[in-house]
Amino acid sequence: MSRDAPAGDDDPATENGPATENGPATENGPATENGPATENGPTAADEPTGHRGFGTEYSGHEERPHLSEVERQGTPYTESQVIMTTVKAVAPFVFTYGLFITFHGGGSPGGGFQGGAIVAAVVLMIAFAFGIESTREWLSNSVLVGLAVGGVLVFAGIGLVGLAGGGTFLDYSFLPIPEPMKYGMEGVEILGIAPIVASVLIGLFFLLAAGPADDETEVSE
Amino acid sequence: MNALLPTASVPLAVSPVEVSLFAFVILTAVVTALARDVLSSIIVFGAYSLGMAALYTFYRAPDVAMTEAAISAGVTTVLLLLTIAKTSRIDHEVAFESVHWPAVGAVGLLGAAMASTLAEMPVVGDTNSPVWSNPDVTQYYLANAYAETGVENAVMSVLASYRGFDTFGEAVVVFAAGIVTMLVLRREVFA
Amino acid sequence: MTVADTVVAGGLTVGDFLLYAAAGFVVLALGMTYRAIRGPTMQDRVLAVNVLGTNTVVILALLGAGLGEPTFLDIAIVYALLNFLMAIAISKFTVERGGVL
Repeated sequence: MSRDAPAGDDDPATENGPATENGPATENGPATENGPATENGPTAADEPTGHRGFGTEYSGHEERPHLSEVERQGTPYTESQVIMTTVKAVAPFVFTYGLFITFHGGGSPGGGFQGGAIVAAVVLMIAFAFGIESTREWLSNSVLVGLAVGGVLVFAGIGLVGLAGGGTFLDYSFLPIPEPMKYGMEGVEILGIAPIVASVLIGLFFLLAAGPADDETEVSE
Repeated sequence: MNALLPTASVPLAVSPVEVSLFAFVILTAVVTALARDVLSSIIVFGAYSLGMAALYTFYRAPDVAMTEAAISAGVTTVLLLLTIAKTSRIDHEVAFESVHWPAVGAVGLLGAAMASTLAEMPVVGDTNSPVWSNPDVTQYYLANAYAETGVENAVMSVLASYRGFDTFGEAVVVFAAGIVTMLVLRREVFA
Repeated sequence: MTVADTVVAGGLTVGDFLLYAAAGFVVLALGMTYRAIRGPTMQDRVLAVNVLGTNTVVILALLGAGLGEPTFLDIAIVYALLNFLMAIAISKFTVERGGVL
């Protein structure tokens, strides 16, 4: 594996330049939906080490303590041509296969949980190839939260339709669709479980990459 | 390893695939527990899940095997790696933890006590075992799942229809796991 | 009657032979586990896990064929597609953590 940028080398260009789809946008601010990150922009610009991978760049608070490399174990995103090319080739197929597992759960092994996990693995793959921070900005928080909350709401909503129709919770036969039993189950798997699992797994990945918020005073407010 | 030996003496018609897979799974499990270096432990744990997926497949539980494959190969290893990336690594001269023999003895006794009940258990694949021959649960699902739900995968018909409320609870648990991780890490956003 | 049920020799069916072959591949996996455990370098372990994963794909495919369940191939495909993620995760981690661990 080639290591063009050694750990100590602070060259932002090699760290997030050609690899990311949105190159300079990794400057942390405007693209993201979350408010506090925008305030973080100037701080990150002053400090090249802000681009260090594994989430050292991200912080929900204005003042980020300046921890050294050793303390944070934060390390640069190392660009690898091999991994990027392979991920570019493989990711569409994995994504399609995840959707197949989700949508075809009624006829073959699989279902929403497995398919959602495979779809989440695609994002993990992309994050490893193109850098976690660029992927974090590419996937906005509102999309992930929307998928997770929407999945729970759809599942509960489908269940409540049966209750509203005078039946029991999750009684699919009250759904106003053809073949309500079959497509009610498919709907729960595809619109309920799969989005929840996929978005929560992606969220766990980004959360663990960012690590705990290390500013105690800001949190207690 | 000694603690696990009694399970091997159960009178069963075991196939070579089972024997070799059990050897593989037990070996990797013990190494995962004993490896001194956390990174090695995680890597061997990945190998363990490969063996478990093959074992589930052999016992004709493809849905479980696929979950094991998707979660372990895709997600667990990565999450564990990200977690230990936050820690500092200590260089160990020795590869394995020293074994605490009293603990091994206690676990061995417990294992032996559990293994003594194995003779009363139905053989794997026994069609007269209560879990299989039960006319109200398993046989009912197998006989009526397709007619009542219209999907060919009986596992999914149980998950999403017969036990739909449990699955709703599971989905909410996954959702709650994401929320709790945010709480523990004191973050306010997923991404 | 599928191909897996065809008797070849000595009362053994094609499926039996496929299952024996799967057992043989598991024994190979046991050998590869030695490399994953012993190392000595992390690259050895990454390679060992990758080989184990490919081995598992073959084992799962053989099991699917030997048991006469073609849908089991889906699991093999999942492993074939995701195995690579485990390898790049570990190798990236090794690099990002500062060279050979």
